[in-house]
Amino acid sequence: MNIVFLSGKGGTGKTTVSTNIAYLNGFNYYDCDVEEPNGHIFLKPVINEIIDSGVLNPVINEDKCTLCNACVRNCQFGALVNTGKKIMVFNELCHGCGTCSLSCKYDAITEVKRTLGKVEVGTYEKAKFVRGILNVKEPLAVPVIKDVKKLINNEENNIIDSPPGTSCTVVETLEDMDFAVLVTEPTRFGLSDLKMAVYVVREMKIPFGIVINRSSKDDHIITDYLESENIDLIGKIPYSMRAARLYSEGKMMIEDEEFYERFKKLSEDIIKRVDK
Amino acid sequence: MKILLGSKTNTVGSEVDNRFGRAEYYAIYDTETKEYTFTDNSAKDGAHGAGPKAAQIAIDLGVDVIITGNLGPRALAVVENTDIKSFRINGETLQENVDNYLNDKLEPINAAGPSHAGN
Ligand code: SF4
Ligand code: SF4
Repeated sequence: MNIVFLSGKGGTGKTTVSTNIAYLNGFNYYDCDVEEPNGHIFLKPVINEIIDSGVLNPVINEDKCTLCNACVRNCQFGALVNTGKKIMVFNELCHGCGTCSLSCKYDAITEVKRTLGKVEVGTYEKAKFVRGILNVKEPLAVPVIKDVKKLINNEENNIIDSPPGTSCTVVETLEDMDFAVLVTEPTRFGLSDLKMAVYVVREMKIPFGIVINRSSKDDHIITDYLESENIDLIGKIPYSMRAARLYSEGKMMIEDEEFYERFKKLSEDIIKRVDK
Repeated sequence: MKILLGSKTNTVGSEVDNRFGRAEYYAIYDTETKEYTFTDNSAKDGAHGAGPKAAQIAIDLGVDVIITGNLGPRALAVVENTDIKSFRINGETLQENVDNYLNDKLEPINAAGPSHAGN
């Protein structure tokens, strides 16, 4: 069972919710938010293994290349350009799919690995902990997310922390998910981000529900929309100074008695929906 | 000689489009026939790498000159590997820019503007 936690661009407390639910249930935790993975701050894992994550970029042997253009035509990512004098490779656009070297009939392409980041593998409590870390300034995140997801065993219970937003990294993360929890907050920005996230999960046909974090008297901003779209509200987590302090100290919310009860209820409500 | 300009519409009286990789259309002006032809910009819809794709379009169309607002670092790197010369827009319409180019009133592009690579 794979439950993914997703949010809009602004920090809506997605990781707070996902780590607390994971911890409470002893579920494995996979951090796919590779540009800013921070689940480890709360789950405090022990890391046993670090795997290098990268792609194979083509290198063109100009002596063998006939400028036949086959590689350029077949590259879906626009990473190759034929200037008429040579083939230029833009490594930062290359996804390492290998299509170009397969399409070269002149044996002019070799592949060289380029590191994009790493994947840390370990445990917290008794569950697995995996996180992807993208190198600073590296624009290509999808291959690192793929490397994290390769380690997921669909037979186990897994929580996946998605990158924020709606870009291709989110789409990659959402593949093979059984249920998505969209974490939002009751503000106008929260609503507009939520609408985009709803669009993506609907496109990908993933069952989903909403959690309102920092719930307040403004909740109607979100709930009016949910009602009009007939979207399932799973639960709410109220804003409190205590919560903010626990967060800033890197502590789990469930260390607080009141929040423990709330998260227990919330996690039952989520699991009930996934099992359906 | 052929000149490529980003164009907001595919009509002769159009305003220029400042963007290179993500221009709506490309206008190609032929200095011999003094006529424009237009083409859709197939590069603009992808999430990433519109600049190099657009540069490939310019190369494949066999243009000699590009007139645009800015070239991103990747598009500029491509153009520098060809005989194509690039100039910065000065004027509202396609024709004003063509006239300014022909009268040596456009400034060459030597440095890259911001990239729109995204993630
Ligand atoms: S490996 Fe794939 S993405 Fe990279 S240049 Fe070759 S065809 Fe393009
Ligand atoms: S397919 Fe091979 S020979 Fe043809 S342009 Fe690409 S590298 Fe050169």
